[in-house]
Amino acid sequence: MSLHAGLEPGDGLDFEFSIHRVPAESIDGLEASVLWATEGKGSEDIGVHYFERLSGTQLSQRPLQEPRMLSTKLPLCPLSYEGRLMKIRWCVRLRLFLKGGREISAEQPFYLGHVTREV
Amino acid sequence: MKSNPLATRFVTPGHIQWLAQSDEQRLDRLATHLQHLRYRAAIVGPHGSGKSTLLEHLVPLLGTVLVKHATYSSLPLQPLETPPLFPSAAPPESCGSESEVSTAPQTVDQLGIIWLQMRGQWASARLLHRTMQHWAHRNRMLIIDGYEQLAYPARGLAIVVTRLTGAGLLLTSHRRTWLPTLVETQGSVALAQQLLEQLLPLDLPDRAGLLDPKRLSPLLSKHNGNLRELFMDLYDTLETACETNSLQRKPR
Repeated sequence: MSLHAGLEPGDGLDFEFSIHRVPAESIDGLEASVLWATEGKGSEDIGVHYFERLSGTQLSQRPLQEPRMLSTKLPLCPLSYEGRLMKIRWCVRLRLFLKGGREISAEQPFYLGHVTREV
Repeated sequence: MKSNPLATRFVTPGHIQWLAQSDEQRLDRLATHLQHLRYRAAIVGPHGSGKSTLLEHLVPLLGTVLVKHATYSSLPLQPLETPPLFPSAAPPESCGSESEVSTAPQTVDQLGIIWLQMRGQWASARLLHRTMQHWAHRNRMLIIDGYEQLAYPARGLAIVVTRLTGAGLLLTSHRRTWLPTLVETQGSVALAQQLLEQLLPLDLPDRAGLLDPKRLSPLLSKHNGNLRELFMDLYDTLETACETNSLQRKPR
C-alpha cells in the first residue's frame, strides 16, 4: 500500500495496493475502504467514506502482484484530531477474506487536514 | 500517529485475552463444567474483573451465536429451527435453588445462543420479553450480560421462563444468583500485570515501570480491583508521557 501521509479536505485520494504471498485461489474477496474512526477512552465511532468490494473472481482477472488503484474524493470533515481523551484517525483499510473464514487486514493511516491537537 | 495501547479499542472484552488464574478457569474446563450444569449458570464478579471478556472467549466453544447484542427492534420474531439440545426424557430439575446435575446433554453442536447486553431497565425488559416469547426453547441458550441491569421482576422471569422451556441461561452478575456459579472473577495485580505485558509494546518508554507490581498494587486498590478503570488510569499516564516527550522533542 502506498499513500501520502497528509491530505487536504476535498482533495482526491488515489491509493495503490498489491497483494503478495497469497495464492489467488485461496481468496474469497477483498474489501477496500476509506474511513475515519475515533480512538480514546470512551465508546468508539466509525464512519466509512468509501467502500468497494472485489470478489475473488474479479481479483483473479489480473495478477495479484500487479498494482491496483482506487480513487475517491475526500470529504471536508471530520478532520484528523489528536486529543487526550479522543482522537480522530483516518485510514485506508484493506480486508482480504480467505476461504475457510480467515481474514488478513492492513491499514494505512493518514491525516486529513492539518492535524488539530488539544491545547 | 501512534495509538495509545490502552485505548478502548485494545482493551474491550472482544480484544483482551481471557487469562485463566487457575486450572479450573481454563476455557475448556469451564465449557465442560457449564455443560454439566445443563447450560444454566452465572459468572460472578465485580466491575472490570473479566466477566464479559470470559463470555467473549467461552461462548464460541458452546454453540452458534444466532443473535448478539440485539436491540428490541433488531431481534427477529421467529427463531430458526434447530434440533433439541437435551433429550426429551431429560430428568426434571429440582425445585428451589438450581443445583448441578450429573446428566450431561447429548450434543452441544446445535446449541443456538442469544446474547443480550443489558443497557437500561425498560429497554432490557422489553428485549428480554420478546426473547423469551419467541426464542426460549430447549435448544437455545440465553446469555444475559449485565443481569443487574434488569428490573427485579424481569430477573425472576428470565430464570423461571428459561427453566420451564428448558433453555440454557448464562448470566454475568456482580452477586451470586439463583443459578450455580460457574466461576468467580476477580481483578488482581498479577492479572493486571499479565494483561499489560500483552498490551504494552516492547519499545514503550518506562514499560518496566508500568508493569511494576509496586506501582500497580495501589492503583488497583484505588479502583477497587476494577481492571478496566486501572487501564483507563494508565491510559492517562501514557498520554501525559507522550505529551511530555513531544514537548521535549520540539526545537527551541
